[in-house]
Amino acid sequence: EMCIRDSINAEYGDQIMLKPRVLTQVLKQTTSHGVKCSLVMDPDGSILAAAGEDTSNSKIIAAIGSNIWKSYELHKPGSLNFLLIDCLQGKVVMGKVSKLLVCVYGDDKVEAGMLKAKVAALTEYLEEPLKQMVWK
Amino acid sequence: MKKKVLLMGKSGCGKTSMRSIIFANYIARDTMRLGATIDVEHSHVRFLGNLVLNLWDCGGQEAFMENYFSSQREHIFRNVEVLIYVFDIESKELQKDLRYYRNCLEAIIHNSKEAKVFCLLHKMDLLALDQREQIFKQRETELKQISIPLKITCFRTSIWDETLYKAWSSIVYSLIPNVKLLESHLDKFCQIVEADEVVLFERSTFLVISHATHKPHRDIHRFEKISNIIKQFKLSCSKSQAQFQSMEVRNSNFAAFIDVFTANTYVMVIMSDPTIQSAATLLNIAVARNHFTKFIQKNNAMNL
Repeated sequence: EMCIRDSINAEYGDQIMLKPRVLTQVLKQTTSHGVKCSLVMDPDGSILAAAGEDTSNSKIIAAIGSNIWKSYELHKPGSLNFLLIDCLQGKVVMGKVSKLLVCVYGDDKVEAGMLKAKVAALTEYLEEPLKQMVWK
Repeated sequence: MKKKVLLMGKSGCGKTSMRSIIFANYIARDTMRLGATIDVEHSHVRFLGNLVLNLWDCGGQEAFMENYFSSQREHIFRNVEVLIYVFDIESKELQKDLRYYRNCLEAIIHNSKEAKVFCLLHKMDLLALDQREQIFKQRETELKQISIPLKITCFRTSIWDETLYKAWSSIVYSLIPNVKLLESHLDKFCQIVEADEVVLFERSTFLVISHATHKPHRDIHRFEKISNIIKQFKLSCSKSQAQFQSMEVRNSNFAAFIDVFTANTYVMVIMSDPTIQSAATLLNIAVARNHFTKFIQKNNAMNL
């Protein structure tokens, strides 16, 4: 499903850096079948990369989504794997990868299962490269 | 590591004002209250951490100048890394100025022949705009001729614009050990992050130490302008009891990230791709910060 030639990471001395454009390319691959936007964000809701035809609400959705995730995390740390948020005008599905959050959202015509499949594919693909990075 | 830098020139040509603005956080207006320097004012300016610029601001009044070339000659002119000679562009005693300059050069040739010589043609703001280039070129040719066999570099400067920063950045750049190595690391950083440009500043003076450019920019004076602007901003922040640490400036064309980098440097990263998010750039700056800090610890000689 995922096919990217370039690596998300780049070596810099003995450190690993993120290549933002490549990450965006990866996200772009999921923006089909009614998906409005795919994002990767840090736990505070700051977007690291975003792709999709409609990214106008991405900041808001990232902020709210990460907040909801955090609340559940506080309740029982480490237990949350996926979050599905059913809204009036669409659906949001979130997952986690390394210390980051993945978020895919679409309009109300998209099925939740489809969104979840995309999130799962993303988290699986990004797990290895993102694990190598050091997060503060 | 101590490096001796001589700052010389006739009385009233602007040496102490320059020094105050670059190293002591004066703004141009503050320099109006400086009086004449008596004899030699030594300042040990901490620059790039362990590098100590041993700045000898030699009072330019005639009595002192005579002294420097006679009894104090060796004391002053030995072990000099850099000689900065300042000329007041409006001086009515050109021949006398050149005579003193020649005396300095002679003393340098005899005591520190490896020293780098920089000539600053100062107070350029007092000349009419259309005359500046011509007069500067004229003086530069003359000075280069007089200075043979020494190779000198001339700058035109004024405390009222960014030309002061340009001159001092170049001077300080010539003092940094391993600067090429530093530049190659900065270049790789610029490439990975996909930045237009990455600039490294010295932390307290905001003089540009190094830069990597991947997208050429039409304003060749942008570095000194930015040094000037950020320094002024930093000073105005501290006057309001706020410590400037970092900022992100965005418009429709670019985003600029200015942040503390290592113990003695600041970094500025320019991104013009609007699809790259701030958080990603900040993340990579943090990675680069780690890398540079480790790199510096290994290479103590870099003093960054």
